[in-house]
Amino acid sequence: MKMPDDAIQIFQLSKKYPLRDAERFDQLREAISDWISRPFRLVDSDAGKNNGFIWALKEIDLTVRPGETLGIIGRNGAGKSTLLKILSRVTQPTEGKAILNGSVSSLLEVGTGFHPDLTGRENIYLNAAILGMNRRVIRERFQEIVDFSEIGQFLNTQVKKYSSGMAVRLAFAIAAHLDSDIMLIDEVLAVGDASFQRKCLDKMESNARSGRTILFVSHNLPAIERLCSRCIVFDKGTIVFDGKPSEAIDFYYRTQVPSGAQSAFDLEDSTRSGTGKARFTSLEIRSDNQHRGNIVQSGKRMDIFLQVKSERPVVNPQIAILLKDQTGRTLFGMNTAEATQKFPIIDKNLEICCCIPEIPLKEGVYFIDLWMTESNETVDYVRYASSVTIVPNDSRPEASGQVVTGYGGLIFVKHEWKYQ
Amino acid sequence: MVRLNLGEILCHRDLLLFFIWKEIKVRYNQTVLGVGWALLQPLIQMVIFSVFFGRLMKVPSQNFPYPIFVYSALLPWTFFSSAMTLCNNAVMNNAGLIRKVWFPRLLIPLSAVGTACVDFLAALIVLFGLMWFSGVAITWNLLFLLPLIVAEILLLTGIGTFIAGLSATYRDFRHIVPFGIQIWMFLTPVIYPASIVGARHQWLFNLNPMTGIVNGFRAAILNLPPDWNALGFSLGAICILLPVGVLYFNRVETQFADRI
Repeated sequence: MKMPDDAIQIFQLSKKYPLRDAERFDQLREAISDWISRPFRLVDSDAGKNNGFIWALKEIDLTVRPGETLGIIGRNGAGKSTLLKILSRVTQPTEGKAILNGSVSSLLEVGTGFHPDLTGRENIYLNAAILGMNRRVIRERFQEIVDFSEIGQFLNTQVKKYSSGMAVRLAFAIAAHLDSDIMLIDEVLAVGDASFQRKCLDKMESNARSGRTILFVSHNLPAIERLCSRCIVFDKGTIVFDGKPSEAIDFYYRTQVPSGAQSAFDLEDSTRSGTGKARFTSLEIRSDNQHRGNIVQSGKRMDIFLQVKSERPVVNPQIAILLKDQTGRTLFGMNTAEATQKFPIIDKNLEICCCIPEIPLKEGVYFIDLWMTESNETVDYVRYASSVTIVPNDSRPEASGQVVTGYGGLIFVKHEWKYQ
Repeated sequence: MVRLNLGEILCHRDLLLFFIWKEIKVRYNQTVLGVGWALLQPLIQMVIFSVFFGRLMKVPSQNFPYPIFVYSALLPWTFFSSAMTLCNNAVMNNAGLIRKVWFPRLLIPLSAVGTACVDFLAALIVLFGLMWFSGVAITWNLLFLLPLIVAEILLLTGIGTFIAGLSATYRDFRHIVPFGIQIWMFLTPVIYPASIVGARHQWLFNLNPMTGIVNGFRAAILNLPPDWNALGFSLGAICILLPVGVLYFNRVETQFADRI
């Protein structure tokens, strides 16, 4: 019997990015001088040049069967998104190749291709066309998309007036109605309310059953476990694990190198707003457990280290760290204005630590916003600076480690049950 | 590897229309006059040029009223300059999309030319009103505009894709283009008649592919004998610039997502 062709075949796929100097050749002058000096140059020391590169992906081999739902997990910068970018043809691999059998669509980020000045209706047409639908197909599915998105009466309202949740719903509704054989999904369920998240997961599940191949990058490990038939773990541009989702997640937790290892998250390229007098440059989460990266056990110590770079002095600074749930709602915040000690003038680079002795959160993925103000003026505001994954606490005296999902809420309150 | 997949562009032709429609829609959104601006802009420009070059500087206009004389050339010229300006910024303006989603990148400069074309069509409507107002006869000669418009679109696609590719690859280029367009206008017989240039230097003048197009427009509208010589140069330029521009864009396009 002839087996159907693989949906995705990847051979020795590599991608390198320049570490710095990314803009060097964007300068016309450089290109001209390079072109002029080229004939006069001796054999170049290419070996030295290579130090300025980072391999986002290194010799990846991977085959995905049709109908498979493949979860992709790994820390920030491990190469997950780069792989999806190459598969969706947004960027080209440096070496190797990827063969995709069938049409591909990607839902890489919420609202990409939404124009704020256009109405929901107009944006459905525009966005669906960008994702590869033609007019006839869009017209056929239009009502279905509108119904799924639940935007109803706001259909003819400009998208800039939508809440972030509404925009996500609309974006996902469009993508969910694509007819492609292969679907690439990069952390889209990060925002949106809980019931809609459930609906999306169900829709994706039915997509997967209808024989569509799905690649799903997410920090939402429970969703990965529920949806995927197979899961790979990325680390430093290579695949370090390939197997069942439950085992992959286990592996992911287990292989986190002991704390103290470098796990700072670079914020230089984050989208931000504010005057920029000083900027958050990195965020690192440390915990006293065996995990590294942004994984903390429920109820354990969580230290948030921030690096701040000063451009101009910030005289009366206030720094706040906000923790949000997956729907984007702020659960709690820590503000330096509430501290007993007054925060000093920021006139040099400094490191700040916010220490939480017991993180009062239950299992799940949470997001961190960073906010710096100077007398009510925003200096630097980084939305979704980082995510943090709270995992069950194996030694929590009050609870078995078992979490009642769905009904149990998000906040872990220290408590004790007594029964006769 | 230079590979041009025309089939892919054909598949995405609806997207091209949506891109153009979006540009037009967003541009005139929340303005009181709305699309009226597309009609008003060439008119205002015509008035300014008529006052300064026609009335104050007394630039010769081949015995036609200066307003219709300059408008007949401003029509193809404004199409050219707005298409070039849009192409120049097209890739950067779509950076967010380019970094996230794949679609045939060639649609970006193509939709820039298409957007300029919509404005051009609006200006074309104004032309007929202006011809009637100036007492210029409407003749069969006007049909000559059709092949000229096609030729101009092809020329703009060639130069536009080239500029779009260059400005996205070398940032400096973005700042050069506006000056280039300005200088180019003075090298093209827009505000003055082509006859102002002596016969000896005519060939040099004709090397500018826009000379043939602009002269052609003027001849068709004002019912003058066409300048076949200049037009020949323009057609030759199209045959070279169109493939060069498109292939160049296609070659640098693969780097956009990593560069911008």
